[in-house]
Amino acid sequence: MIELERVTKLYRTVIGVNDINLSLTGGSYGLVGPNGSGKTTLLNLITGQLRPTIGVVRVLGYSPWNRDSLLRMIGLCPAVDVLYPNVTALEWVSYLVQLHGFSRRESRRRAAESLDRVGMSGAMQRTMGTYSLGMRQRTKLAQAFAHDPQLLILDEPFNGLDPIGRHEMTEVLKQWVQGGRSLILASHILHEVEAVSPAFLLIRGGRLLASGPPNEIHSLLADVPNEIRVRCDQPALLARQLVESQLAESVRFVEPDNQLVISTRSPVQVFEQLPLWLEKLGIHIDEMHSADDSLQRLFTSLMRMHRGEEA
Amino acid sequence: MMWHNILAVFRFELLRTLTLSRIGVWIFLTAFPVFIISIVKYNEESFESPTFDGSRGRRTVQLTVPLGNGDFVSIDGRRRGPNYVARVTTVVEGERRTVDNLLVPGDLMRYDNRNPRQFMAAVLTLISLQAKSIRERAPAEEMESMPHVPDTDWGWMLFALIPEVITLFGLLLWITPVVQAELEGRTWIYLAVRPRGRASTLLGKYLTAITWTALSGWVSVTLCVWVAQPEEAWRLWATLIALVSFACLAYGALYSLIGVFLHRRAMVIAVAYTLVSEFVVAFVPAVINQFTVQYRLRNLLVDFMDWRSYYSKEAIGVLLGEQPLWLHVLVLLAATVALLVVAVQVIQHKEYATADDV
Repeated sequence: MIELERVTKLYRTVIGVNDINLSLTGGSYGLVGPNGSGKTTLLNLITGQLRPTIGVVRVLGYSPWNRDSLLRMIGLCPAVDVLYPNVTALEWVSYLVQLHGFSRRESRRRAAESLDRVGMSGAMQRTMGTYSLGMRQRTKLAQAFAHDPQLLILDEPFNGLDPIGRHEMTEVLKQWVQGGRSLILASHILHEVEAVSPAFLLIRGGRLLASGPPNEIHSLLADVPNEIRVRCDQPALLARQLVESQLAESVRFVEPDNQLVISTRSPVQVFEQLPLWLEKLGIHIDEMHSADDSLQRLFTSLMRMHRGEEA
Repeated sequence: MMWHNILAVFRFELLRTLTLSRIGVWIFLTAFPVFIISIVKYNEESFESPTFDGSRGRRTVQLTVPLGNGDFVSIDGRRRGPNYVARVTTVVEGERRTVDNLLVPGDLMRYDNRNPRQFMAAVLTLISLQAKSIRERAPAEEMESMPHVPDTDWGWMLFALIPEVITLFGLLLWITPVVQAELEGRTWIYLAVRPRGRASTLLGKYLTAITWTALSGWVSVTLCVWVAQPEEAWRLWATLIALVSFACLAYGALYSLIGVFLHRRAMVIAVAYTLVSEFVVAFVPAVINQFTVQYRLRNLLVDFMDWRSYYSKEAIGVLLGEQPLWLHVLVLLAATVALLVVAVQVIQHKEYATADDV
């Protein structure tokens, strides 16, 4: 469905995306990366809004740049907020659907249907200047699929939504995927994507670091040492115990409050042993956290692997 | 498909104009020329008795001589370049007619350079007496057939105020930021991902801008002509309506191209272009002035009003030219189409990246 061959996009001296190779078949994908990682550039390359500086982009076999026939099959919900203060959601979505060639009546019907699907039927006759951020987000989502595209591309669609709204939108997107159509969901929050998409594309610094289902990505990190941070009253004693037990690959102390940072390839065993050592040695722990599920750690590790460094 | 999309953009953009601020701007632009013309008209009709107005600092003198029964002869003396022009107007039974235009050479004025205004007043008095004698001796039929200059002053004043100021200003506000407004409002991407969305947006907005501006110009022309009450009111009205329409088409296309090609500084560049090209180059006595829209429009004004016989060959050669009327119309329409075609090509093939893209 989507192919990128050695694609690089430069904004003068700034790198948008860097040497990306990618081949996606139909289905649902989560494009995950921190803010400024190149997600929007990648999506704009796919939707034909930008031309690659180097490399080739193909969507359904064609270069998307200036190809109207592809745009009919794509629905895009950009990350940027939209505000036409004196226009109603129904008028705006109808207008955008009309630009796909639908008649005014049909556009209005489709717009009303889509707005109803995202829970905006009660407010769609109100001007958008009166909307909350969450309502505008729902309206943006409605305009993306109102013309019934084959591929839905959503850039940070959950921004501004409350937990109930996020759940509702997740359900809408799950239904979309179950309908056999394709989805690319870009976000900087991993668990949002995980709830909808079975496969990830991890991007950072304009580079595609990894792609595949979550278990594949976790397997990539199997040999990556886990980092646990502990703030306690006797960090030196706990460090000695960890080294003696040979469960820690390294230990170090960091300021300001002499935190103990444990690097281990056996986090499960460390967590099993820790309560016993604390009781035996009389150590009192004030704070402890593991970076295991943190996206930041995932990216840091993948970046190191990408550079050929030991993770 | 394309027309369908253009009309969709047109309808949506027209809907967006229904805000207090935009309606306010429309009313201001429409009312401004009417206000100016009203002041001129008020001053023109305020001379009811023999008066001489040559106040300090002004370059005009005016003399009004009553003919009895409420009729009068009015003589305007205005400094134009090195010379003074005196226009003799009669009002007979409520109907105003310009019966003569006289050129008083500047050299003659310098003859008595101690007080040129007094000298001018003396000349005007002589002219008024001559005019009075014409009025008294000439039967009504002869007055009708007497050669007179049509309403050139009203015409040029309205031409300068409406097609050359109001139309330009309206289009500058509306069409120049065609892309930049969408980029700044972060709405560009929503339009650009629709089939032919970029071209439809440009042409739809162009249509909206020229409709909005032309409506303002047409209403303004109608009110101004009604206030001014020139002799050939209908002809001048129709001429100015046509000129406003041509100006909207041509300037709109020009600003569209600037708006899509140099979108970041479109407004500044469009203003600079207008000041340099339309207000300076257009008056340069060389072939280069033929490349300006104003050159074509002022030729159309003269040709539509049939004023060509009132200007010297030198003036025609330098500022007007000898081309036929149809050629001016053709050039304006062809330029409009060419500029729009280029603008559509630019907008279709240009990347409009923003900081949000990275």
